[in-house]
Amino acid sequence: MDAGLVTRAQHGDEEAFASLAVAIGDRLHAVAQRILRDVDLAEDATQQALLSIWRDLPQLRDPEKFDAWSYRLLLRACYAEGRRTRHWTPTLRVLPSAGAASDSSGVIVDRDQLERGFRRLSIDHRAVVVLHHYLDMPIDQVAETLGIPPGTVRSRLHYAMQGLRAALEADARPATEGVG
Amino acid sequence: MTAELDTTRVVRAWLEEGVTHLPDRVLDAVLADVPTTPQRRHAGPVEAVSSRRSTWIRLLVAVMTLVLIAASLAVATGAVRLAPVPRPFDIGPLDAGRYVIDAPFPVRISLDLPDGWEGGDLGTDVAAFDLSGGGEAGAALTFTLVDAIYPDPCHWADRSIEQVGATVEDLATGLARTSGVTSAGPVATDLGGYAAMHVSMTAPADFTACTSPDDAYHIWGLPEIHSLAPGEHDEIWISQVGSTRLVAYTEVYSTTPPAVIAQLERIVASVRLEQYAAIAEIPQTSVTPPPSKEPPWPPLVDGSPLDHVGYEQRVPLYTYGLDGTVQVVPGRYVAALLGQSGWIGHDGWIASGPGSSPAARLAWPTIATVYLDPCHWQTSTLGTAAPPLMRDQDGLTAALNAWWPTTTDSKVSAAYTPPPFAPIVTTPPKAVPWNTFLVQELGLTIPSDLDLAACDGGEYRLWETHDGMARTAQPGERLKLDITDFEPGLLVREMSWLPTASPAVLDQMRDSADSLWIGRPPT
Repeated sequence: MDAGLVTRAQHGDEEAFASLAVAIGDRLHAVAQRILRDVDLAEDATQQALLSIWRDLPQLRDPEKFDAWSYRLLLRACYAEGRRTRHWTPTLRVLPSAGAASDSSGVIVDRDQLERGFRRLSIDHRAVVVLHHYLDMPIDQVAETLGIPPGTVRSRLHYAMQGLRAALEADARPATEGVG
Repeated sequence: MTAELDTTRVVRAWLEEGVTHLPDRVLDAVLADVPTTPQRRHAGPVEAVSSRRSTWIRLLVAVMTLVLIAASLAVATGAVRLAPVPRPFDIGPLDAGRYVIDAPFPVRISLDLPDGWEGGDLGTDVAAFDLSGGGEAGAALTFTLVDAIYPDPCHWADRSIEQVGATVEDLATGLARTSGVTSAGPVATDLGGYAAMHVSMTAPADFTACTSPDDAYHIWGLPEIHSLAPGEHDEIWISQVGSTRLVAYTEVYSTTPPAVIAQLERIVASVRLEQYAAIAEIPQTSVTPPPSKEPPWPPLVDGSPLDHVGYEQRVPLYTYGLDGTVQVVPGRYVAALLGQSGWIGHDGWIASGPGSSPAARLAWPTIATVYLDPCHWQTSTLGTAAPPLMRDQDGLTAALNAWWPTTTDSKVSAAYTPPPFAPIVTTPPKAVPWNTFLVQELGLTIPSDLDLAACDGGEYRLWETHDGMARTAQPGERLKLDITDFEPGLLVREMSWLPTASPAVLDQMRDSADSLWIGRPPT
């Protein structure tokens, strides 16, 4: 991010902030949607995050850290949205009938199972997965962005991926139980 | 490893799907608000610290006031609780100054931070500060609770995590025995004014000989996971602060500059620990406790008739791992509530009358399994919902709400037929405040045309609790459920009544429900 643009926005330059918002809006929205799994909630979270960025920019000490800082504000907005408006769609798994082909549309099945598995993760765990596997942030950068030690990032990532793997594997097994 | 790579590939491909463009209307809305949204200007360090101090003094006065109010209410309700205090720090590097970790963390901690450190997680079982020096060039200080450890971090995935005993010595000894790390201690010392045991450990420089070299090198795992990076050095203090066994640990890496390590040592030296009970011991000279019939409040005994006074009962809470494993939440939790004359006390509930079908009841169950077909709870192929599906507030709410998909969800309703005589969701889940928590409130009605004789064993079973009690229901019964996450620990406040319940009985039920408080009493 252009540090000069950030500095100008820090000093109240609304045009500079508009340029910043245009530059980061898509990326923030994409991350929010992947964490919250809902386009409407993601729009609200992104809107809140952008306004928080404007409001709190003067408190950002190092303009070079604008990207990490903006993601932290976005995640805070995601927490708020996640708590304010929860989606209570049923998460029961429909049992496939006996002998049903399980791999005829493997990608679709994976997508469905991943969606359910991901929704069972906390926002903390989802954030680590999205930052690392969607934005390709290295562990150290995820740690810096979230303000947690790298070891915590590793363990959250491990457990999140374990949970997703379990969701995939559970639905790949022949159904013998009622609900996952 | 192949499975892990496959999962990573699938997850990465799946994450690529989704929106990538922020609609212009959202951006326009933001930019329209900017001119009327003032920026928060950064105060100078001295002014900021002074402001924080005066803020803290105001907060302290507020806490003292609340303590006094709570103390007076304690006599009336049988419980003392402290209102949560906002943490005095925010996102981003902090100014140098003294900071306080307060509720919901179970120990009050104050410490001096130098310029540039950040407050990280804050919750019921972890509070962390760190200095980001570019990932592993940084350092961190974390306060947490530890109930179980990995004796062999290098092969943590091959062996079960081990629960440790309840004492400081149990945990210190267990950590000192951790294999594969260079450790020292335990040594008796002190931390923040309390006696402590100290252990240090350093991880090997690489994990290539470990079972899962790409995974974390796990040291402990409950309630929070802590793992080491290659070459990481941790200093660990364990101290008993009231009823809480507190663990404080610092993390530095081989690349952490000596100046940062020196900062960390000064921070640790500045730490002061306090029990919340100490705050509650403020003299109550200005408060005259209301007259009470029978203080202290008696325990709620199974089968005993109640009076219109306060009662207490121990409540076990449970939490779940991602794999569905169940753990008891450490610590002593109690339910405190106002009884009603003529009502009967039970283990985990009170009822307006004797028998298994009282006109009204108030309960606080910890639900272990949910019957998806309550009428055919023995024979239905639907079976039960249990962890990991319902391992958190979302999951438990979904399990209680998803028997009967009243909304159109193509993923479910296209192929899912609700079981016969399924409860009707009369009030879909909504977030409401209760007991300082944001709970999910859900209203259910049992179909009035339900024929119990047609149900398995003549019973209509909704769920079973962790102590194995089955919750049965009657035709036409109404239930109002507040699903609460004590972070950690799930519990439901349940009000239920039959159509025959009189208005007076319903008022009594609501009166007791309003008084119900569940939490950890100060020691």
